[in-house]
Amino acid sequence: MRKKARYRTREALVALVGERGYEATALEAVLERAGVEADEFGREFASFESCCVEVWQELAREFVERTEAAYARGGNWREGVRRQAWELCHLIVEDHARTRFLVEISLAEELAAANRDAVMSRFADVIHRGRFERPEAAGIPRARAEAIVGAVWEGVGAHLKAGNLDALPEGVPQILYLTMAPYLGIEAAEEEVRRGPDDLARYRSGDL
Amino acid sequence: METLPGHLERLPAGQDRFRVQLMARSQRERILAAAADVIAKRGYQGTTVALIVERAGVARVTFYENFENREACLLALFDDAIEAMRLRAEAAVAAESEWPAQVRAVIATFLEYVVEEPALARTCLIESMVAGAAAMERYEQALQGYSPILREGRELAGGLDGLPGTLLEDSIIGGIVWMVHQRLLRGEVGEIPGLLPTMVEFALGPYLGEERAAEVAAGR
Repeated sequence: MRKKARYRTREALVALVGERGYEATALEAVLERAGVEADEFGREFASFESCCVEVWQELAREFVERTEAAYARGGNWREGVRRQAWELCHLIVEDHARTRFLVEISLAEELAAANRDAVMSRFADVIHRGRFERPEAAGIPRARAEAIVGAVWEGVGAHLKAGNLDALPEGVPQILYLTMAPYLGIEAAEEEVRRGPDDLARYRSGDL
Repeated sequence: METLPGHLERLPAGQDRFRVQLMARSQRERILAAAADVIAKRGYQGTTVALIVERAGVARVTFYENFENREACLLALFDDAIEAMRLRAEAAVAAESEWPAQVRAVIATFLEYVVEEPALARTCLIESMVAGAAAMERYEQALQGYSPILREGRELAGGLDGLPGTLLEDSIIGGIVWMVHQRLLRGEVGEIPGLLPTMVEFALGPYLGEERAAEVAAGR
């Protein structure tokens, strides 16, 4: 029963933030939407803010698990990064409310921001494994991978604000180009641009 | 011409009027500087008009003569910073004849500005995210304003014809801002100048290749 209340709260919170934005979402509205009493809520969460952060952490954990599994399925760094990028794109686009929730909470709540930075650091670690791909890449500073992850974050934020998250997949080949260029070289990176339309078609048909 | 608050507009022309204009401008600048400091310290959400006027040493009425509310003050701060950065970037571009050196100069200028004005940078790059739709829109527009400079690099690159729009450039700019954003968030302003070579390679590598980008990053 407690789990159900927690789950309903989470669903209502994400939906409401997705519809109205974090600033305009009050605890009372979440409880009403969830059909959860205040004392039930109090048994699950210390406060509205901590509820937001806990839900943020749960959702982020799912993102990390799914994208890291996608990377592992790739079998090698290049294919792994490709699959991780497309999986991340899928997660971002499939549920706009969840994406808005993840972005807005991490901007407004310090603890969620710290968690976001930790999650992004994991993504940067994966990208930076590219330094083992060829001798010329060995000296690339980790900040380079950090910048690539930051570019993704800024890109998602910009699409969200512009209300065109559905256009995000079209940008994946460019992000992959940006990712591959330092580690594999320009010619290899251009391959990401050339194969972009096919990958996009596979993504749209659910094959990627 | 700058518009003065209503009660100042009624003063006589001449030297007195000039002095009053100077004072009004100085008060506006003091309020903006104070707002940047308070917002950097307490965050936008924790900033009140009372805190800003206390820090600026001006009367509350003076604040409202200059700004409608806290958000308008933040937006003015943002607009001033964007304009100042735009002028610096223009000068940086004009001082170089080659595109790679121009990109390097703009990034260097950006980092210098951030280090000179860390409170202002924090307000514009971090706090603007939680300061409402108008601030976020300005943030996006400001960043996108630098895409055309980078896009010129496509003429030097071979295989980027198939890329639509300026997403590549927007992403590069986003990545650069993110690196600064993270250092500001962690209070590591001193590390920011050292990011220049990495940022230049990040910006130029996709167009020139890593080797040439590293040379430009090293100032060669």
